[in-house]
Amino acid sequence: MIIPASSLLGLFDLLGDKLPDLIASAIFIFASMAFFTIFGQRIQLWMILRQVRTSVDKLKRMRDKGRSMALEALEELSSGEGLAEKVDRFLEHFVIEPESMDPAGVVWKLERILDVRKQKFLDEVRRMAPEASEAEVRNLEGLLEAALALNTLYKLVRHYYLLGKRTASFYIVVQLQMLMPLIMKNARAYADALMAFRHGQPIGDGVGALVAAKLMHGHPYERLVEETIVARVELDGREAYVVKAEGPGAMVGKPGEAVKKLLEELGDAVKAVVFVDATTKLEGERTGEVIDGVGVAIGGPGVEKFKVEELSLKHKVPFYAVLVKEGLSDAISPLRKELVRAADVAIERIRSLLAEVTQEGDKVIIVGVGNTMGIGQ
Amino acid sequence: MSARAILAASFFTTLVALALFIVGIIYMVQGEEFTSTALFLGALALTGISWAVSRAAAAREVPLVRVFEVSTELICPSCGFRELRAFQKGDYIFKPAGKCPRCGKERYISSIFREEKAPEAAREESL
Repeated sequence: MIIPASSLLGLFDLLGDKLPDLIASAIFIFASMAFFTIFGQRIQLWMILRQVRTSVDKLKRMRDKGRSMALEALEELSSGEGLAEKVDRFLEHFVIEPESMDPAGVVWKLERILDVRKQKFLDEVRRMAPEASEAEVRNLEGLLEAALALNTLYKLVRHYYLLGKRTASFYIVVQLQMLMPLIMKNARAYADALMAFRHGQPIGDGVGALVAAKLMHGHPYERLVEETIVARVELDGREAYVVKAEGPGAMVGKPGEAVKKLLEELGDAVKAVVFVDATTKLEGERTGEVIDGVGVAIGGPGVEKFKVEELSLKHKVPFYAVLVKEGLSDAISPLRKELVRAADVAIERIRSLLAEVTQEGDKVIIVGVGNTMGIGQ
Repeated sequence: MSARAILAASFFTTLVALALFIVGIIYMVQGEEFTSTALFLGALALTGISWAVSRAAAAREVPLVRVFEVSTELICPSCGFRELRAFQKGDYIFKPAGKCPRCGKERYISSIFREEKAPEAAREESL
């Protein structure tokens, strides 16, 4: 179809004075489209980097706070000479995991490395705070571990932030942005742990140890393996061997090693092993909810869990687990009232479980798993 | 100024911005281009201020290291007398805690705990 020139001129006449405005608007729209097409991602990158930068700054302040709190705590128990340098060296500590290309025996190698690490940390704390009691040494070590975790988180996030910024890689920065809420949640948990370890207060992770302590309180106990004690308790006609880490210092003990030793001593007379531990709750679940199931409930790097699972094939003893739900932050911050109540509920759950699966006169092992800081026996 | 008050101020600013925007639309329909543009710009500026204030409030809301109020409960197993006091350094559960003021028998620390006070303390960490 051919449009006559006269009708186009007529259109211009119709628009009249509006024509310059129309052209200006069209130029503005096309320029905006071109601008955002070319620079849109860069603007977005800049905005995300600003957001992440805020979190990196916050992580740095948390790290600095952790360092200063550890330093203050150590200064109270030492001369303070060269302490800052020693703390800084501690915060940079690392562990090289064993090679797992040939996985046979890797658990024992890992256990050895973790034992050496723990011993080295404790020795360093003893050197830094020679006047500290054994329980204080354990708590200080926990405080330094929390500060170390904050330092590691900060340095890792800063690394990816700077990498994303230098390479102007949208995808590195976006991945970091997506992970930041979870990373900050972890950092918050470690920051909350600082004060608890500074004062030696019981933490949420210790709810398993609290259950065991309540069961064995008033009964004689003995050290079974390193940092771990056992007490023989009569529980509803059953002979219960209650195991926990030796409090009140920040210790988790060796629950797997303890169960292994007890099973070797008592043999097939043991009719049930019950583990009590804290477990991470899902969002929306209630803190302090007590649940039970089967299996070995020992957290951590898996060495202690592995030891017990190995025995299940030999002794055919059933393993039960009673778990108390709590958030990540609750696990390493001072014990919440709901969790203290949950410890009593867990004891009732253990009793009803034993009533179902064992008979009077049977031998059972009850293991309170977790950090026993601020919990005696 | 508390974080809650700052957030309330931010919310109020947003409401004013919204009102300006609606009035701006009315003026635009009536053909008052200059007034409506001025109102739109005002609404835009207030929204920006509100956003900046709310971000600042969010950043201030959760302190770096939260200090919890931790309580220690002492109990006398003989007469059941309970006492609640603030946590003191060196306290631990099942630590002997001297004589009971009521019956004179030995008592011990039965519990150490904290209570979540404000729901905002449990708020998720924002970016």
